[in-house]
Amino acid sequence: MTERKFSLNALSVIGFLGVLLGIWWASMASKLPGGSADGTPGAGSFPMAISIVLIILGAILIYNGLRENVAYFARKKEISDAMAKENLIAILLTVAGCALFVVLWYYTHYLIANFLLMFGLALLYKVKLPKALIFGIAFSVGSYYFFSKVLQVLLLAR
Amino acid sequence: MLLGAFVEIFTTNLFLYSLLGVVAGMVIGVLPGLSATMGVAILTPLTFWLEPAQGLAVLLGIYNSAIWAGGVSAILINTPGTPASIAQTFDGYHIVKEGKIGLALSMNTIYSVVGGLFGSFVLTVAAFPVARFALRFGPPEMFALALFGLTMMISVSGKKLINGLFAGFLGLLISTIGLDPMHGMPRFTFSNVNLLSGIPFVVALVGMFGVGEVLFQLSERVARNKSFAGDEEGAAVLTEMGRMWPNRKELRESSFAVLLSSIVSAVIGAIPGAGGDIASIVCWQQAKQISKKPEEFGKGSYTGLAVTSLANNGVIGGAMTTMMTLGIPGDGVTAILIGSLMMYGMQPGPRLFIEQAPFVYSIMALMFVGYLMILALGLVTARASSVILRIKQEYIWVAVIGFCILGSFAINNSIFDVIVMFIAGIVGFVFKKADIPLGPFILALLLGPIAESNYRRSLALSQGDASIFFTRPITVVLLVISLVSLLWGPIREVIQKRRGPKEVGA
Repeated sequence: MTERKFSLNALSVIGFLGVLLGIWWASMASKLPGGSADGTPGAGSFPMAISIVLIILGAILIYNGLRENVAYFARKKEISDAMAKENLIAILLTVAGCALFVVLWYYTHYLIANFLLMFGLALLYKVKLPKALIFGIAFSVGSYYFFSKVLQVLLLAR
Repeated sequence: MLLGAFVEIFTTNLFLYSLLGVVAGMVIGVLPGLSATMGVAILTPLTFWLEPAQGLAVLLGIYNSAIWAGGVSAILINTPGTPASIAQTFDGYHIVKEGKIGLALSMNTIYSVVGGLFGSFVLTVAAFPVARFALRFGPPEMFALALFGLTMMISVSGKKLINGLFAGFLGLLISTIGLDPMHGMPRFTFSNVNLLSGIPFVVALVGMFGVGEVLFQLSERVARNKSFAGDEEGAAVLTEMGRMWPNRKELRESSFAVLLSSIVSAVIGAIPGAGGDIASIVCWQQAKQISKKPEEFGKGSYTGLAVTSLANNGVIGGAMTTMMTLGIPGDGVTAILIGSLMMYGMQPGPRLFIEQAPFVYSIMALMFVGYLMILALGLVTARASSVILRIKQEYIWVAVIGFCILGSFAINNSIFDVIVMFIAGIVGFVFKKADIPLGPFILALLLGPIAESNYRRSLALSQGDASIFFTRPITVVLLVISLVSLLWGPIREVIQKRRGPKEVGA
């Protein structure tokens, strides 16, 4: 994490996003009441103050990121190239799988969506097919039964 | 009333809920990567249907037990199960390598229980007087207190003070989403009704500490299909336990350091932001300084293991005192417990002690009972720890994601919360990779509305005169401590830099 090798200057990118978010928030806060005549702060005063500080901190973060140039997302030495690539794919597919799960749950049923996610993730993380299948079924059916029958929570997305 | 609370635990199902929490906490704590914070965060929504005392019985069981069990993996495989058990690796693993596995594990259990019971005693003795004192607090004091809690959390970000500040202010910014706390005006909701009540604190927590942690561990994966015991050495470590009990000489040698560490850890626990990891390291260094055999520290010192095992559980009583009396979290887990209490419809703070006194006594009694369960469980199941350590990481990751989905959905039966949880998970992952601490963000999300509403109420009281914050003694003290805690890190760095060249020159 502290290798002095440029890959992606995460701090500067996050700082930049912080500045953008601060400006956006400040512009929205400026449309809210700033305060009343008796000196009581309005709904926009606190968010405005926070936005300004966030912009300043974001700018400092950009500066720090460029000065230190630490590659926070650089691969660690003990992780091989192949494993690093596999990890990246696993992360991206996990995020994509979670997004797909939300859509599936909305349009189908918790059991189907949850089974596919659990089974898919287990396969993605290299669990053997039979074990992944058993795990997926056990988790989705078990959690569905526990929530809908024991806790009386309807696992309906809409 | 405390006695009544004990009777209630043993005559109702509270005992079973506490036991459930202790067992769950043991599993969570032993497995490296599953911290007490993560465990309590994920399981908080699942206790939503329970009575407040039952829910807290589970969550306190997890909290106390996970911190104790974190020491098991620190001792056995030199990998802390929770961040609070980092210092236990200093000596614990060396003792194991000497073949005294049973002794190391039993010392972890015994001293964790000693520290935990002492902390629980502090909670019982100190909480009501502190709460009575805090009843005098008005809006300016509450604003200063919220600021104090936040700055203490940021100040422990170490050298990454700016990162901590950035995370804190980002959390404050996000906390402004929803209805304005004074007039109920919608802000930053983008006409989405789901955002009217703001970003749900527990949902954000579950995402950041659950999904975020899984993504982080995936990114750090060195090899596939690895158990937490890792290599063969780790997996086979429990074949021979050796003697279980420390002898009289070992007990005598560590007695003074143990006593001192009990007091120090309880005090550290009461300071917002300072958790078990800091307490353990401070107590270990302190024990080394007063020891007659400082050379043994870091090489298998019994006193070293005793004080570190004691300190990380010793902080819990202090942290709970601050959380319950002032509504300010002492560490990450108590931040989540505040959210849990709010989920049950309770507001931590001095009024809790007046309006819900029996509940407060139940919490105190549950702390004591939980530690007695840990003592029994720890001594009986020492050998079973190896079984937990052989669970493959992959199953844990998938299950954690599954529980995060269920937990975040269950609070409001809302798929919107599940989406927020996933987004929080991605943000948590990016923050962790960029070395931006999650603690200040989460704490700001929790304390933001308290800080804002009390800031605005104060100015409404003084008709816009900001001197209200500088003319009340408690407010001034809290604001000065907040400022000093923030500035102390950079000032110390400057002093060290100035001293550095002179020392080199000398």
